Amino acid sequence: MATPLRIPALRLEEETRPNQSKLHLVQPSCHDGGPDINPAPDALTIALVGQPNVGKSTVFNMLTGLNQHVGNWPGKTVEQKTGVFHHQGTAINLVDLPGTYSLSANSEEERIARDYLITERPDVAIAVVNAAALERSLYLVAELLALDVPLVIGLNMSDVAEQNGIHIETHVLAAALAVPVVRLVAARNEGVRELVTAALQVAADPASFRPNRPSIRAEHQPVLEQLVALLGDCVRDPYSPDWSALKLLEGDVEVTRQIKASVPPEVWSEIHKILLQHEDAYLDIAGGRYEWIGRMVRAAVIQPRVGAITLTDRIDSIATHPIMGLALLLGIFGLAFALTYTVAAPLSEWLSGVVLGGLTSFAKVILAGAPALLSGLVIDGLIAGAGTVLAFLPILAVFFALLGVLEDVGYLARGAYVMDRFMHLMGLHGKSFLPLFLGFGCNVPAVLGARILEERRARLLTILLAPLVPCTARLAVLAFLAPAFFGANAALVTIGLVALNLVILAVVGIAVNKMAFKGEQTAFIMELPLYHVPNARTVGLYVWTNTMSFVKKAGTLILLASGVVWVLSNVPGGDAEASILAAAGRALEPAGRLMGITDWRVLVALISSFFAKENTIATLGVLFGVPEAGATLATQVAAVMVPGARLAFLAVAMLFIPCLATVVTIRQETGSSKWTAASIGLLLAISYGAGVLIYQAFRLLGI
Amino acid sequence: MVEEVSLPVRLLRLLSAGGIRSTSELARKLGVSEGLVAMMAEDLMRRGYLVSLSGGGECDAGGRAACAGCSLSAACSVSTPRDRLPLLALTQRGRQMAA
Repeated sequence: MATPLRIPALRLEEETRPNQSKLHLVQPSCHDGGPDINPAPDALTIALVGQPNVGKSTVFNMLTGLNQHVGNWPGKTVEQKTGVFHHQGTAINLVDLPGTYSLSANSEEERIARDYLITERPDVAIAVVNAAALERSLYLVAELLALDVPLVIGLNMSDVAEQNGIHIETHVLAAALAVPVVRLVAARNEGVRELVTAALQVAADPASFRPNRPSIRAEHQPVLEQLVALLGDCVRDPYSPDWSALKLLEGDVEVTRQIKASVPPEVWSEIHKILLQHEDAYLDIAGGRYEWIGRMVRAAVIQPRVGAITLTDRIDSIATHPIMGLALLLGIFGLAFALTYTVAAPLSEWLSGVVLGGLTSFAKVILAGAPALLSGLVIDGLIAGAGTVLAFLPILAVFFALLGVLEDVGYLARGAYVMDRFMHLMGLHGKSFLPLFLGFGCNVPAVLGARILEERRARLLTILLAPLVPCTARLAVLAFLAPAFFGANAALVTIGLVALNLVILAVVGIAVNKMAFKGEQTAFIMELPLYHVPNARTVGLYVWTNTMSFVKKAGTLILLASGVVWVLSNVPGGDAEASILAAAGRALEPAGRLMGITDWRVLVALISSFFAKENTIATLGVLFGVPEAGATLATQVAAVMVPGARLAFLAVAMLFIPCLATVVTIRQETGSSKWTAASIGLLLAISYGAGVLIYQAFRLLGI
Repeated sequence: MVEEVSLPVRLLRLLSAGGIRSTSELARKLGVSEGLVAMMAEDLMRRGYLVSLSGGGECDAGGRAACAGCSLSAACSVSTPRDRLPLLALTQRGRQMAA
């Protein structure tokens, strides 16, 4: 054991032979006026390694205090910190290496850290690692062990890990690794001294340092030997041929470049040939490390305590179950609709009665002297149309609020997961899932999302499926009409229609799968978020953005459409029944009759949904007029149809041809008018077919 | 005990069976922690065996621009980073490796 008295002597020694100083090679290239810390030449050198933000700098500062020098690594812009301190009478040079996640030379920091450890050979390295990300930390440890530098581990942030329910048994980890592990709370200076003591012990007897290293799979051993033989004497000194061969096989860019530059071309072509044959060797080499990490974690980590993680697991055992999960999904959506109807429908009725009625009376007073044409347009066109749509704002707000809560709680991701399971059972291609999932919000991103499919054929067929996903606009229309159409059974009918929609989607999907993908599967990993209490602000924002964009749409596109519908229903004579719109609607009657819909106004409303799905409501508002007291628009519409026809109407509204924005996007994405027409034709056939079937079935059953 | 095939290859094989797999399910099937699965997935992505489908992909960029016409695009699942599902898919190379 050295005594403090040795230090002045060492300094003297250093002055006489400064160039042999071990640290000289990495001395800061510039001096910035800080305290000039001269490394003690024969003192021990300890390198601090670790991920960024893991507390490495805290350990460095605790140990060196003011005795540190901050500069740059020679020729680099990366900060270099060195310092001198004494521990148990030993002088120690401490080098703080740049924070790195691995030693793969992917970044300047990683290259510096790796090169320092290989070329400067510190007496011992201290790895400060994050207990809360043990797997990642152990990956770095595995790479450090491959460098043959004696190592001790400082396990920091155990408190964070404990909060996450991860308890690590330090002594078990140390035994499994055969590397000293010291528990640290760097911020409170706990364990730092013990860590240095452990490092000094390892440095005192490097021969006894025999860590448990990740093994290389047997089948790669001959390849490695072949490479080592080829490398021969070409590998320059601090780099060992074994390590270089391993890095070549891993595809390490830096090492590959160095070797290529230093071996004769004919040797390189031999090496290159071997590397090409073993292109996927990386998976096995990394696999060896991962298996090693898995073993260490299994040994040293006590399973998470009962808390957030296991609660999520327990809920998920039902929520992500192939059958129960699907039932739960339908149940939750049914409940969401039921809640929407109970809470928002009366509010919506009140809005359309009192506010819309009030607005109409107000407009009548204001426009008393105005030409009949103008007052008609404003009152019977704009207010009755766009105003009616605005009246179902409460329904939308409540619906979005419920959706927002489901999303924020973490359930929607499960819903998507379960849906995919269901699709998968039916043989639908996994890669179509993402675009289809997007379609739930709006079909436009669903069509765009099909870009992820490389094959044109697969992409086109996924685009064909996208409009079959029930978008929120269509759900809103459904939510507006269903309560008036079916009273207490509204929620049941709604969820039935959504289920029908999904079944049709799945059936068409199977056909698409058979035609386009020939059963070939691609898979996804989906990180299911932990369940958590919804955040009022997040949900509020969700409701606000969605509702506001709806208001914007009502104030522009729907307002315009309402005006157009009113004008068309008033030319030529001002009598709606004799208008050109009525004539057009009546022309559709033979087709409508098969689904029990004979009122031209309802048929026109369906057609107008092409411009935007909400137009169905606006058009009904214009054509049926502002309802009398005690009635609502929805009840007025319900009165012109028998129950079978009402259900048929809702089904058609759900499945009808995509809205204009979607059609434009389909045209743009497919670049083909034929496909766009095919998409419209398919949806038209499906929706009409469903409408006719439903009505005829009801008729036969005598309902 | 040494498995016949390495962990990353076993992960690729599980994925090639198709369908959505959650990290926790994969972790259970491989007998490792979720953190390790996530780490392997990232590694496999860097090495070109897996590809990320969300998070700044073409579909996101195109999506936002083209969503402008849709009043409900804000409700779309990928319109905010928070809602974006971390989805990875096998690449051609990944499929070959799993075969």
